[in-house]
Amino acid sequence: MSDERHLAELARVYDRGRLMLGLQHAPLAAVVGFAFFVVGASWAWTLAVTLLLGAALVAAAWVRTSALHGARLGLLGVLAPLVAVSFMSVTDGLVTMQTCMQVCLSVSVAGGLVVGALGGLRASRTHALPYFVGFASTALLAGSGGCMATGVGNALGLAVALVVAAAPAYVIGRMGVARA
Amino acid sequence: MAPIAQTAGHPAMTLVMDRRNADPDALMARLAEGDRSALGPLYEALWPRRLALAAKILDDPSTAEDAAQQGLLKLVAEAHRYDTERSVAPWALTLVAWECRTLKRRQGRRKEVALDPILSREAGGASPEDEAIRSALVESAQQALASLSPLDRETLELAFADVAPGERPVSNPTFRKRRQRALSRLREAWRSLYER
Repeated sequence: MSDERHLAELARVYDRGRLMLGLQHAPLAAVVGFAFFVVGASWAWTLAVTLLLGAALVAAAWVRTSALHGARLGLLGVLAPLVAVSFMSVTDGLVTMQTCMQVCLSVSVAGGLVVGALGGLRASRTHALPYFVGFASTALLAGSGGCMATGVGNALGLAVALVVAAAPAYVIGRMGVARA
Repeated sequence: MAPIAQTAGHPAMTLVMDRRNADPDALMARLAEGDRSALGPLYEALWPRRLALAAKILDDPSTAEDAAQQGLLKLVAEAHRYDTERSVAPWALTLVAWECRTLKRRQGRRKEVALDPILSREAGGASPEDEAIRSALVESAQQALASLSPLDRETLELAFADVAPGERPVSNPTFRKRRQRALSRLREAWRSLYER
């Protein structure tokens, strides 16, 4: 077999591996979609956001591994406030709506701060640009999807907290890497 | 300091760039990240030695080429799992050696099937009972190997594939110690299977 044919076969197998890597992560999108559904999003909305997030994960895996890692963390960050709201909606009879919104906002901001700091640190140790692109795209996509269910305030709180925590964490991480 | 545009064309700089581009570990790291342009140079860097190893283990050149290609295909399919702290060469060697063994075993089975069992028995060959015992032993050996850590398996692969010392990821004394430890763990695993 010639070198060209060997290489063509290797490229085909490599592409299939990247696709499989993305598909292995696609169930994460279904988890977020399920959380949307639990907090009261419609079927159509849930399906649309789930498909978009799944496509974003597959695309991230296809382009860059660090983009996939960023996208994964971005989704987990959005999942925390969604789970909190899901919990509140299940225990609706026990708490007032006002308490729920206050708690949800705190959880959104806290989740954003933690995940943002983690994302910033991780990005400083890997390929920063694809990591941030993956991280921001899924976090914002899922966050904007979450607006329908958890309110614009919560999504905004999450986005601001992500940026506020990620930027200094990235700078500190880069300083650490440079010193090492 | 000279501008980058000037240094980039300098022969010494070109040599440094060529060496960096030909480093299999760096190429594999790029491939693991998703950079498809690293595939060609990585193939060029890995192919000759993998093919030489396969040719050493197998007699038939075309089968050796198949084994080397299969090994590289597995490497590329699992590229995203590559740990940048480790060298890609032993991993690739292990995969090719494994493919060689699989092909050898398959060829052996084909030969066994082709033989007439009665003629074989008359010629003093193994009885069905002996064959059953032999296949049970092979299965147990495979189970014992599977219970070892990836490092132990890799060490044993390199030891049995008769890989040249220069191709090994560690120095000779370290390799000998690792081989000794891997063999004693294999013995323990075998004993536990046998006692069971």
